[in-house]
Amino acid sequence: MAEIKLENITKVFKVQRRRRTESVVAVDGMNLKIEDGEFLVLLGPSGCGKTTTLRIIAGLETPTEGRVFIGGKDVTEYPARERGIAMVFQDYALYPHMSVFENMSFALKNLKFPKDEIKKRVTETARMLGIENLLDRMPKELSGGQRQRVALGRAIVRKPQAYLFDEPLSNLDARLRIQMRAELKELHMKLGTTAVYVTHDQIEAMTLGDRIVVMRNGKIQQVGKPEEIYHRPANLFVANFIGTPPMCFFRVKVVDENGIKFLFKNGDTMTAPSKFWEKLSKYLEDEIIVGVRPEDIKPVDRNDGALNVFISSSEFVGTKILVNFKIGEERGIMEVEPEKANLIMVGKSLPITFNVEKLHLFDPETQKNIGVD
Amino acid sequence: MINPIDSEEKILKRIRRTRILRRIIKVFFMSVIVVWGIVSLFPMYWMFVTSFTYIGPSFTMRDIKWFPNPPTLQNYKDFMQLEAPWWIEKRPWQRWFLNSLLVALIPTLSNLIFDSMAGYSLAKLRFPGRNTLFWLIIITMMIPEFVPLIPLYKMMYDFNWINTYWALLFPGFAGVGGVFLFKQSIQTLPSSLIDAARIDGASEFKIFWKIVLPLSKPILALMGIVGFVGGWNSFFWPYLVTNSSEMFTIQVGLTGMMGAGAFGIPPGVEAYGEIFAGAVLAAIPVIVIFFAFQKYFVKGITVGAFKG
Ligand SMILES: Nc1ncnc2c1ncn2[C@@H]1O[C@H](COP(=O)(O)OP(=O)(O)OP(=O)(O)O)[C@@H](O)[C@H]1O
Ligand SMILES: [Mg+2]
Repeated sequence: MAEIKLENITKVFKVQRRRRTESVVAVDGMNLKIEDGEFLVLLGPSGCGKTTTLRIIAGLETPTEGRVFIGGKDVTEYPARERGIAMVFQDYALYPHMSVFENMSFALKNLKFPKDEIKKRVTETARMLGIENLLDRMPKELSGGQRQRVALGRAIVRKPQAYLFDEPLSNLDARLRIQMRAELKELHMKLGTTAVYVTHDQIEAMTLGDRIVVMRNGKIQQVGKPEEIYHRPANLFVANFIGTPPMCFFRVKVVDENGIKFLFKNGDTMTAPSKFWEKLSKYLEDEIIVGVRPEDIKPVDRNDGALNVFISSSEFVGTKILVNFKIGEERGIMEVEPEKANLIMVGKSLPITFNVEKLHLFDPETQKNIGVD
Repeated sequence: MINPIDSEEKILKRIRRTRILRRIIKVFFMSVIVVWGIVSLFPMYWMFVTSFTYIGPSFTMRDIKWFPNPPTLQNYKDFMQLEAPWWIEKRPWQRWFLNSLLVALIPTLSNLIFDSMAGYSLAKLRFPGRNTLFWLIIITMMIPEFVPLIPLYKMMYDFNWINTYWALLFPGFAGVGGVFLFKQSIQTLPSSLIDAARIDGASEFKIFWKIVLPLSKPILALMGIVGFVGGWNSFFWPYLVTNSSEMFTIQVGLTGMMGAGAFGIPPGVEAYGEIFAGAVLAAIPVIVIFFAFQKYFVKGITVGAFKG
């Protein structure tokens, strides 16, 4: 078990395109400290450099700049096999010509463990994962979920310093993914080993991570606990990326009419929460972006102090109704309890309010969240 | 296209007609294959039959026999010179077989080793000049095989290797064709397997030996068979670089026997019986290998269709 530290990591790939060499910056000046025993999730859209970061930690890729520390030791120049870490790949990467037992014992054999110790460890691990009856099978004789377990087992038998996961659940069907997600969480609590987990699935990130690192274009956007990321997104990108259905954004003008108010595009105004007044004073007569999550928007019966929106469509999804609406030309979405279905009339207007305590305000220039420091 | 207005009878008729047409096409193709098979097998059959038939000292196509009548092993005895008088200079036919075996085996083995290593590096390792090297290999493959013969011969001559095993064996130690095949096949292995092995603590050589090679079995078998058969059947290069009979391969030796006045065959005698007996013996290893490894052979051709 060990902590992992990334110091100023940059990775530039040189790509040949029609005689020209182009540079692709996959990771850009990344600084990150992963605590001992922590389950850290790297989250971000496709191509943002998650896999590259993971491969740099693993030693499968050398950073163009910066240093990697595992357990306080500078391992930047170490090859993968000297780093004492285990990795689970998206395609499982089971050795197709080896049985499950051989797959799981390959690393221990390379570490020159005695035969009986190998056997003991492999059977122990297999029992823990419920695959002890599969030890003689070949990988191609296993289902996707079983392969996934074997890949996990291959990582666990080694009792490594840290686990690296690269989207390990993305090849499973939805039901199995949820089950394996829970099992992974339990497994981590039992083993307590540092884990770095790459995904572009925000729900996976939220449920698994002790902390989440949101990345974009090779740069860290925000590091924090799942609640922090959800409730206090550092910028527009994070706010937009986290949450389904996504947060709604409205461009408003900040005006002072008996207190600071937001002037919406349809002419309605809403009083800004007083805790923001001081910060908003320098935006007077300027535009800012107001973000609000669909669950923090409620329809109301009376018209005073409410925004009038135009209902464009609604979808019933079981526990709630998702209502698409428009304020002027800007679109939004809210969640309404089924009991209030009678208020929703497509093609009509509806008064709504925001839960002002949960408003997010963003500077349109810097895209930063004005409310968090 | 079935016209919906057509009566049932008409439709049935049409179906019958296409069925007959299909059968005719099938028969046509079958007969082509059969004819082609007969044509290509005929020389083999003729050689085989003749080797068991007594034929006189002068022999032409007119004396062809369809069945050995009566069958005799005399030609084989003659080929091996079992009954030759002591004062005749014996042809070293055992040496010819041995030389052929060496020419078939040693370059093939070394090809498997070197080509697979080179193919692996080109397919999966990153190093400067990799692409240039690969293109050089492709270009080399484009050159007809007879083009480098003269310079190669000159090299052998300058090394003083003519009429030695070095000249027979060394030029075939590695081949671009094999490198290319291995590269193409190893490229289809997922790189994550190699990464996983690296993480699992395997050294670079161990990755090659325990992961890449076992997964390349079909291509190894294909290269092994093609290499062995090609080496065993090779004629021109051994013919070029050998000049004393104990360095000949069986192919060179048999060809030499056709020249009158050589290898214990009196001038003016065309010893086709003996030559055919030798040729049958020379064909046996190839046939055995082919049938024994037929399974791998077919698999090797479909290599590249990798499944995890
Ligand atoms: N070996 C490579 N050679 C060249 N460019 C690369 C290489 N590996 C990654 N890249 C580039 O680096 C960037 C980051 O890639 P990376 O695989 O880390 O993204 P990712 O966040 O894992 O995306 P995904 O969610 O799609 O897996 C991409 O633009 C990619 O094209
Ligand atoms: Mg990735």
